[in-house]
Formats: sequence, structure tokens, C-alpha cells
Amino acid sequence: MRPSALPIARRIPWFTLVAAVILFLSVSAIISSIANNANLRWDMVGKFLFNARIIDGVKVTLELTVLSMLVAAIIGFILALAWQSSNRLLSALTWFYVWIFRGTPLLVQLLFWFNISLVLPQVTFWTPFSGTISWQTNDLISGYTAALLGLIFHEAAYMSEIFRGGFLSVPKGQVEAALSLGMTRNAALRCIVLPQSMRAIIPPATNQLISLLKMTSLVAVIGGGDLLTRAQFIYGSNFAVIPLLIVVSVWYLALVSIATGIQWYVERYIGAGSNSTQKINISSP
Amino acid sequence: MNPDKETESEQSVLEIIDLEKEFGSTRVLDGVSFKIERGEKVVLMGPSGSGKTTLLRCINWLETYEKGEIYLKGELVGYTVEKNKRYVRKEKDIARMRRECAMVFQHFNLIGHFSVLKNIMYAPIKILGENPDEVRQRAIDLLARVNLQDKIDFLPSELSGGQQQRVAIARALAVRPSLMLFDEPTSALDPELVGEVLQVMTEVAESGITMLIVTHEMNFARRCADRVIFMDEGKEVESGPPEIVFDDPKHARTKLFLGEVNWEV
Repeated sequence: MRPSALPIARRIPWFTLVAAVILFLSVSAIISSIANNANLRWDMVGKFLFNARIIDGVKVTLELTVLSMLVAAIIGFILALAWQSSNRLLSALTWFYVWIFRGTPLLVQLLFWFNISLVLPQVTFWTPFSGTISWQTNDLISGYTAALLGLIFHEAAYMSEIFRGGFLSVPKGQVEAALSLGMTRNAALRCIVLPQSMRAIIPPATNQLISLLKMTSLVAVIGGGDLLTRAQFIYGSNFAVIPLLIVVSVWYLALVSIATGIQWYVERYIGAGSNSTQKINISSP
Repeated sequence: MNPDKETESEQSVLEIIDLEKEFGSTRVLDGVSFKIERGEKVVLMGPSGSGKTTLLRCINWLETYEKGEIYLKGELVGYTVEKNKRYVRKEKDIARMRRECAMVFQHFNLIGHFSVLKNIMYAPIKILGENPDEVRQRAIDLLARVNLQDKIDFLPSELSGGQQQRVAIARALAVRPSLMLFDEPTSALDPELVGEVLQVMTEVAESGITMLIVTHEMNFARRCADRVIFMDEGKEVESGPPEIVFDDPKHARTKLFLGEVNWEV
């Protein structure tokens, strides 16, 4: 008989089946040991999950994330524009900024901001009518403001790189066509480069947002008042360390899941009409 | 030296004098001079690397030049002269001068996120400030002229290369330029799509617009060009009417080149 007349049979994947069974058994063993471990105190987790202080912490975490992302995006955008500028000094300055703020750990930067009063004990402004106004730096910089400043300046460095990459992703011919039609450089940037770079900017920017959401937990070391700060405060008095860390993890997981959902939706939206979001098939057919 | 010379009526559309251009240590243009009068169609030919594309880009100030002069309708491209010094023109001034000539690129360069119609209407409305309704009608007429009236709402990525290039020609025509520059408009196309673009270019040529075309399409040049300029190593080797340059080339370099190119289409 010719091969084409024969039915196509599939071999039984013994190895995959056995591996799946072993994996299933070991994962369920781990899960059941976690669920039944009395030290984890699941009752405490349930009790504190919606505790008023924890909810306050969640609000601060969200506030820190959204505020620092917005301001960092604006600063990052300006930095990316400055980098593109033909002014050498300006582009060198942006390079320097990114070098400093991306090159040092966020935790160290946060500690610097928190202790800035050791460097600048007073902040003084000169105004044309009422002379000089000055404040004690310690009155201005709380754990929260230090956290906000630290996150903004650190994040701006990353955002500027994301914007820069986005600008570079627009083919040179698009700008040349715009220029040859008689657009100025600024108009070409605004009307041609920016809209086209969005597709390359939004996926890494939302990624950055998600990682920022988790990075805000670092502000706990300076008492930034976020979710982790509150949880530490609570377990400092009731010693329920693990249950409260689980509460914190559950909240982060929930927030990150929501953010991931938004990311998926946004990417689908900007990918409309193109196949850029399709998966590349790397396995065999 | 007076940069803005001659009066409107008698000036050439384009005048290039002793243009030189170097990229690093490579001399791409080595003293090119020629004039193009109103309504003339000039084809620029030569082996790759002979400086044709660079020359075109200099005219549009997409490439700067330091030595020599380019006058577009009597105005010096890229520089103003004040008190015996040359200054690079201000951005807005450069943009204004670029509107005098329209460029058709090898890779079409249609704006990717604009529809076909918007690509054509954008410059006349947003840059030249013309009446939108009037421009819309003109754009639709132009699309009919390049035989793409049914693609008005398509995105460039949904069109074939030949169709994209025809839109690009319509876009260039829409600004009513004094000079149209074509930078190898058919070299990025599949062979079966070249014909439709050359057809449109022939019709544009017949409408009397001034054109400077870099191309290897010999038959197109023979059909449409008033003059062919053959360039090699950044210099003009010879020039003249196509029948003379093609059928009776004076220089060995021209003969060699003509022997190598494809005479089809």
C-alpha cells in the first residue's frame, strides 16, 4: 500500500506521561505541606488581609507607583529628547544622568535621599519680593517624600532609555520623508516619530511599571509608609512575621496580576492591525 | 557674490556649482556643476557609489555640503550669506525651501501610520495651510491619476511596493513642487512592478513638471529625458540628449557602463 493511504498514528509519549505524573505528585506534596504547616498561621493571614493599616499601606504603595511613574515618564521623555539634541552638552548631561541613576542601586539612592539633611541642612529659595525663604531639610524630607524622590529619579533613568529606544525604532526614512515635505524637526518628532515609537515604548514601559510596583517595597527601609512598612510595623508588635509577609505577597500578586491584565489589553490595543504581538513559533510544528 | 541672483523669469529651477562632498576620507562628489531649466527632465546615471543619491539629498538638505553652491530657484540651499559670512539657515527657513522640491525615495517612505489619502493630504493641509476640502479633491484626483482611487483608506503596509511608490509620487505632486527629485524610484521593486511606476512617471513627465531622476531604467530615460548626465566617481563624465549619450557615448567609462546595464522594460 502507498504511504498516503495509511492513517497517521501517534506514538504514546511515555516519557512525558511519567514526567507529568511525578511532577504532579511532588507539587501536590509541597502544596499540602504548605497548607497544613501550622507555623504559617493561615488564620492570621485571613485576619490581616483586609486590616485597615494594611489597606492604607496598599494605597500608599499604589500612590508611590503611580506618582513616581508619571513624573519619571515626564522626566524620562525630556531626557530622551535632550539626548537626541544636537547640543553636545545637553546629550552629555543626559548620558551622565543615566549613568549615575541607573548605575547605583535604588536602595542606596533611597538611603541618600532619606539622609539628605546631612548634606543640605537647609533649603533656601530666593524670591524677588519676599527675599529668601528657607526650611529645615528634615521638615521637608519625610520617609514618604524621600521614597518618592528616590523612585522618581531612579525610574526616570530607565524611562529615558525606554523612550530613547522607542525613538530609535522609527525608521530613518520616515523622518526624512517628513523633512522633505517641509516639516521642521520638531514637527516631525511630534507628528511622525512619537506616534510611531509608541508601539516600541508601551510594552517595556508597562513592564517597567510592574517592576516599579514591586520595587516600591524597598522604601520600607526608610519607613516610606508602604504596604511592607505597615506589615513590618504590625509584626514588630505581634511577631506574626510569616503570616504578614504572606499578606504582603498576596497583595503584590493581586496588584501585579491586575497590572499584567492591563498590559495584555494595552498591547493588544496598540498591536491592532499588525501582527507584532503574535508569538513566534520556536518549537517544531 | 550675490546668493539670490537673477530675476524670477529667467532663473534656472536648479543650479549646481562645483559641488563637493566628502564622507570621512571618501570623496563622494568631486566638483559637480549643472543647471536645470523650468520644465526640463534630467536623468542622472552612473554606477553605484558615483554620488547620484548624495547629490539629490544635498539638493533637499537631507545631506549637508560645505563646498560649492546649490541654488534652488535662485536661492542658496542650506545657507544664508550675511556680511561676507555663511550661516546655516534656520530650521524654519530650511523647511520652507524644502517645500520647493518634492522627493520620491527609493524605499517610498510613506508615513506608516497614515492612510494613503492622509499621506497625500498631510503636507498641503498641515504644512502649506491649504483649504482641506480643496486638497481632498486634489488628492482623490491624484490617486485616480496613479490608478489607486480604490486604495484611499488603506495603510501603506497593505499595499504592494509598486502601489506604495505610486502613492509616494502622488504625495510629491500634491505639494505642487517646482522640482521633483526621484531617487532610484524603481530599484527596490520586484521586476513586474517596475512598469506601473515608470508608466506613472512618464505621465508626470508629460505634464511638464521639472524633474531630476536618478535611475537605471534606460528606456524610460530615452523616452522621457531631455538630457542625461552620466556620473562616475563624483564627477560628471558626459551629458547630452539620451540618443547621443546612449547611442554614441564619447567616454570609455560610459560605454562600459551602458554595456553592463539591462535594457529591458
